[in-house]
Amino acid sequence: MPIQQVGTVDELIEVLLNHSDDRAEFIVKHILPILRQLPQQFFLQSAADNRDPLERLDPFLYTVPYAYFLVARCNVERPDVTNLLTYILEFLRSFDPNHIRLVPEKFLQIAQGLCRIANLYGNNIISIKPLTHALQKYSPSANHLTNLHQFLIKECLLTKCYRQALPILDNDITEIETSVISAPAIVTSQVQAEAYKKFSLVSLLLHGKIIPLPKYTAPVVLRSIKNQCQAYQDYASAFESLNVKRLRNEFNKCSETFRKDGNFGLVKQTLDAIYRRKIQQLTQTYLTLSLVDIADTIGLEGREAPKVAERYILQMIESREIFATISHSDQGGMVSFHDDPDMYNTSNTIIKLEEQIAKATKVSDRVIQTDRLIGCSREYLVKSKNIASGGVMPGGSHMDDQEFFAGGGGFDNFDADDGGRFY
Amino acid sequence: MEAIKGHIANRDYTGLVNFCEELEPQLALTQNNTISLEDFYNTFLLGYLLEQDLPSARFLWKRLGDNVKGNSKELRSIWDVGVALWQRDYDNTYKLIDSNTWSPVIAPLMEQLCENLRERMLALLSEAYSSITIDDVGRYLGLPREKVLSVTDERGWTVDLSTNMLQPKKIVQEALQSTSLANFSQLTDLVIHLEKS
Repeated sequence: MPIQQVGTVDELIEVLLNHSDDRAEFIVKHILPILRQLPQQFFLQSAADNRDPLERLDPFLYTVPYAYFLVARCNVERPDVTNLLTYILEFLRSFDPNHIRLVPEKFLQIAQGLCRIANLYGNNIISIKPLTHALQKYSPSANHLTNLHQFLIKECLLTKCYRQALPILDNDITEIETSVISAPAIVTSQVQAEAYKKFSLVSLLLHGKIIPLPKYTAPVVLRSIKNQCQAYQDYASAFESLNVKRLRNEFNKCSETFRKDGNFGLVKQTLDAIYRRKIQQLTQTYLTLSLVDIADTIGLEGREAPKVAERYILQMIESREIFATISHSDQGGMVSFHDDPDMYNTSNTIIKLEEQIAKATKVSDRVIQTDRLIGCSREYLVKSKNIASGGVMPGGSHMDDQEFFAGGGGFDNFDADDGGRFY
Repeated sequence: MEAIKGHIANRDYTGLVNFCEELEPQLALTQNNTISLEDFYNTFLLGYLLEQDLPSARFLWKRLGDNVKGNSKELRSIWDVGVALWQRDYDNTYKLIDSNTWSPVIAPLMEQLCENLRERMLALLSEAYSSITIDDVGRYLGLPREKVLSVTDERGWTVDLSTNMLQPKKIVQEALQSTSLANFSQLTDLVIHLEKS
């Protein structure tokens, strides 16, 4: 079939309806060329009988042309919001994932369009459910990072629907869609710096110190963090010293920065957390202690101090940070600290252990899989051949590329069935 | 609305919250005549509180538009209860719950919230204290003195009226100890995996 010339929307629809072959090759060969040669304006026209052309197309059977129509409409300066929204939602509900993967850029534009429309509509929240649904349908497995992820996460952040983003983010992302530009940082983005600020505070809350970043963090990121987040690092070291006065000083000094960064709430929580930290330390030294003494040691002041200390202890008992009992039979109240009563000999522990094992098994399976893939890849084979023959490698790498030799094909049972055909 | 009532009647609060999360975007999109926005957000917010998911409740409150917040006095009152819970100001929580008159849909949920909170407090107190004054217990439970005595008596706490002290009884939890065929199958899976790699 030669590429047909279509002049009007009606003709296009005729052509589409007459060739309802849903194999991907067919679409690539016959439908896409027609669509590609048409200007955007074309898709904004209505049919001869003034009906909306989309009414005549089924979004599942004609996913690709449908997408073309939608994109053109999304790009209009003043779209007909309600109308367009209905069509987009209909599309995201029923598109054919195999077809849409042929035109990922269109899909991306529709998602973008949806976010924009939702914004125009005045409520971003409407975009979350359709996006989530579309994402699950679109990505081949839950471990894929697609170009749709960014929109969904952004929308979730905008509407403060953090809970809804969790199931998506909870998957380890191992496969990356080629259309995503992954950026192993060469320049530090502002996002990374901001994230580090929040991370350092949360880390203080949870662990009482800043957990060092993983080894694979790009060095340039580390450097710029040092420059940009000085206030946070000073604050963290004040916290680690567990000196309430010093922390308060630091707090007063930097409170302007914290407020500007929008981290004031978190910082206030750390002011609270330092007392808990100190109480926790006490449990390691003492078996019993009076409330008055506790208040004194952790640096609480004022007449209400023992009461406040009691509140802290009660909270900590509830969240199982410490194990203790308070007794009011003596004057002022005594606290006795205990060890963790859980002896880790119940089936609860076993269940937890099993969950962790299952997780580890899954990860190791995936590592093996990836390792084999790399072992079979052309780049790896060429590179290793060059090294073996002592030649200079095209990237100028050195012979002592330990990491390179360590990866790929290094498994003892790397049998010929799996990789052999490449040799 | 019927679905929401169903969840409330079944005391299935997780289901309630999930249902509300589903419904929220739909409501933003199309008018739904069976439920008013006010009723919906009231139950939604309270559902989070019942689930003890205070952060989610807080974010819900933050993302609500002024048109919803301004129109509903009850929503405001529910959030006040949430704030008191957030600050762990339990004394105030009970007071707020008692002093407001709640609409028919909300009232049973509030009652449940109160009950849950009391149970939680009783469990916490019995774990954290070996002796505590009766007045303090009253504050944590939001109950008058006589009520405190009868409630704690049911649970076997000992009372010493001369010193005004209560001695909570520790709750001993039965730990489950079981070995089943499932354990064996998991073990074999693990061994197979180790053999394989």
